[in-house]
Amino acid sequence: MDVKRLNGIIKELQKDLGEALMATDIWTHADGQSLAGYNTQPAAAALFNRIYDLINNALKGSKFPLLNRYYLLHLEGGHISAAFPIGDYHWGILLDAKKAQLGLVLNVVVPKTIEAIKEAVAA
Amino acid sequence: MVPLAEILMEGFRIKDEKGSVEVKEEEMNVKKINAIVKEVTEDLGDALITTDIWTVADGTVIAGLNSSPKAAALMNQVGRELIDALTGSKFPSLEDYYILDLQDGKMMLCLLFGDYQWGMLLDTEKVQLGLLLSVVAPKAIAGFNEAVSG
Repeated sequence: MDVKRLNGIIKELQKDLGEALMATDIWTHADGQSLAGYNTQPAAAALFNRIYDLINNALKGSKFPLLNRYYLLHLEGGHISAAFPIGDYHWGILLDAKKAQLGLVLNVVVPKTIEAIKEAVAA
Repeated sequence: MVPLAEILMEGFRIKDEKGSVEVKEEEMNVKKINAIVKEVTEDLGDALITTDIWTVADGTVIAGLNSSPKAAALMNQVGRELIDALTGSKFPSLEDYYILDLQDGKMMLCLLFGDYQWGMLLDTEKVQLGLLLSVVAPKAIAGFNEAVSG
């Protein structure tokens, strides 16, 4: 894993999202340990790990399709949080809903960042 | 001494009064709900696969298109677990919606209204996220709130 590259991805993300980005973390799904981030919140990584599992377990219990690229929550206080599973790793973002352009985030920034994270963890 | 029949009649009167208050509190304009569901259905066109509005208390569907009571019950469970997980943390609570991007090219948008939730199963290839979140969802929220308030 190229940790330097992961840190570079976080810096690039800060540039792309500017003030809209409040916090971000890349963590291992197995134990919720953070690998890189900005305004890192270990409790948030653990919480998002738990939320991902509980959603997928509920979906698995029925015959519903499982989570694919992400889940996104609109939170009180004008925040949007989203988490993206990337193999054994997960990446989460906390955004200012008023400053984030969701279309730009989900269609441009997220695909680019996911590809970069895949390359960095495979290196 | 007050006769037993009088005591019973008074009891029935109080029970009837309570019953009518409960019904009034839960009253909603079903016609308006069906109208807003129809409007959302038209706005989303082919992108909308199914939609259901259900009560959080028991997951019972009160309106929808291509209704799926099983999906409503599942989403009710997911919503409850999400709310519980966030409440038990120091994170902010859910405000008015969440989105699940699902396998097989599907997406679930769930709008939250306290005692009710409105789920929309969408085709990710056909849905315009900007239109969904900036136009359709606010319209659905306003329309539903208006219908519930009578």
